[in-house]
Amino acid sequence: MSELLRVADLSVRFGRSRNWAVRDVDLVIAPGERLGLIGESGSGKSVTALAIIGLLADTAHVRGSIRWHNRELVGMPDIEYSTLRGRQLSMVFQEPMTALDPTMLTGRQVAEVLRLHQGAPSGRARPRVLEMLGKVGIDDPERVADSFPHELSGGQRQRVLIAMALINTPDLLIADEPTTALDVTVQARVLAELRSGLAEAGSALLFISHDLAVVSQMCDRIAVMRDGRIVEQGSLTEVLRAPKDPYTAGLIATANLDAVAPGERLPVLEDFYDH
Amino acid sequence: MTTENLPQPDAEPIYQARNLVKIYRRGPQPVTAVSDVTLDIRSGQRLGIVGESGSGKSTLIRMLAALSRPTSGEIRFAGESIVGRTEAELAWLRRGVQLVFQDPRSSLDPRMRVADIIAEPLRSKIWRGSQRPDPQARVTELMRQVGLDPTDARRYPHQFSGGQRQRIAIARALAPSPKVLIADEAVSALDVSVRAQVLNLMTDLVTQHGLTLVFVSHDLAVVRHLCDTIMVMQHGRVVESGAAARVYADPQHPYTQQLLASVPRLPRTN
Repeated sequence: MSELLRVADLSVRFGRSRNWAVRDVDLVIAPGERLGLIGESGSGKSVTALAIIGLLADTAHVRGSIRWHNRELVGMPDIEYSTLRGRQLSMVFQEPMTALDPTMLTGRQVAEVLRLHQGAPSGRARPRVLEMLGKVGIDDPERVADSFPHELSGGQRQRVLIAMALINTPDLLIADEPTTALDVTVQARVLAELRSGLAEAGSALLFISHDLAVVSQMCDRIAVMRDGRIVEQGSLTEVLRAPKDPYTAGLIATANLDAVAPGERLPVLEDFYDH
Repeated sequence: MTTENLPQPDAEPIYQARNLVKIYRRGPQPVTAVSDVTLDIRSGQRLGIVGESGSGKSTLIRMLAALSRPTSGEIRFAGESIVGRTEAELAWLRRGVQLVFQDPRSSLDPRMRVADIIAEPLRSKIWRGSQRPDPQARVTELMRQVGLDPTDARRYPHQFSGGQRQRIAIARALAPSPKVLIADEAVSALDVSVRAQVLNLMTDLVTQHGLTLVFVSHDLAVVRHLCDTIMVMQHGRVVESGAAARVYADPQHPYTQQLLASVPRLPRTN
């Protein structure tokens, strides 16, 4: 099987801390594949993502290997990394207000990604920017391109980020809780637009979330992370039908509000561990 | 635990709101955030207000809590009007109605110890001329009730997890023994696995204390679990309301149907 990304024995710790935030993580993503990385806050999901895209803080110590198209990314000089980032590898963050530059028109921010990697002059980038904004579900691309981030709704800002991430048709998109800050109705639309955007760009996806129900709508395979380790991975249907780790069973139960009668006690993670 | 002790339909409503309108005139165009909302909340009722950002649900509860003044319309709490009253005249409302917000990271003062955060409503002027509970004993009691260890009372909010911080916010809200608890997206910022714990806690506390609950959320599945009545808002208006089971099983308005269809669910595997 051809591989896009192979993470092997990846461990990350920060500064003088002896605790590994990420421990011995193994992940493989094939071209066009959609992998969901699920776990609670602090489980190491985002650190794993930042290690892959090379955006860890300078204080991070990284052990292990991240191979991208058979090139080693661990220890790659930043100047080389920056030619991959935004072109072959891109990322969408949870909070679009902090990921966008508040002083710059959104259209110019999207165009900048195009210019940096493809050298398109600013005038010629605009039609491509407007086309891309339209593809991610923005009804009036002209107005949105000529707005500042604060003039847009949360859903529109997240769509702008997705447009930026997909405009160079990357091989892999990493999405870290991209819809967690959105209302359910907007979330449903943004997820649908993300799916069609990925299909068109032919990009693989690493989708990070604490919400198993959301992951299940995006991914064919999932990896479950807890305390920095992957405790289980497999096909979505397999893991949902027969979880091997009690933690996974707990996540499945807590994601299923509908399975419990109103007012009855909801299952919690602790129910799945023997005391 | 089942909670079939639904309030009597003929019980006196604790809240009566009539023709509430809120218009903001800050920008070049006036914005009507709430448009002609009328509602009754019975004592012991658990009302869920559902809608997305901008639907007017947060503006509505801010008016119910007298944190914002309606442009027009009338609100009565326990039979008395709360509109146009001075802060001193609202002490009984401040004791009787407490709020829990979405993000405990921004709603809890990071420089205050947990004990002081929880006891703060007990030190307020709202107790002038009435019997004030002993803060220290009350803090210990409240921390136990919300599942926190009272020996952590000297710690600061950042030393707690997100779920624990929301428990601190709930303990603080319960401190003055309110009749009504208003929760604004109180579980929306939590991990799904932590959400279940906080929902269980709220279900238990509402039952134990006989609280009237007003729970605001964009997530119909959460509201159906916690509430007996659902009110759906869109563009500042109520588009549908009724018994939670009915609205969830058989939504009438297209917007309610859309909200329900948007709730992410696990695929069936068996």
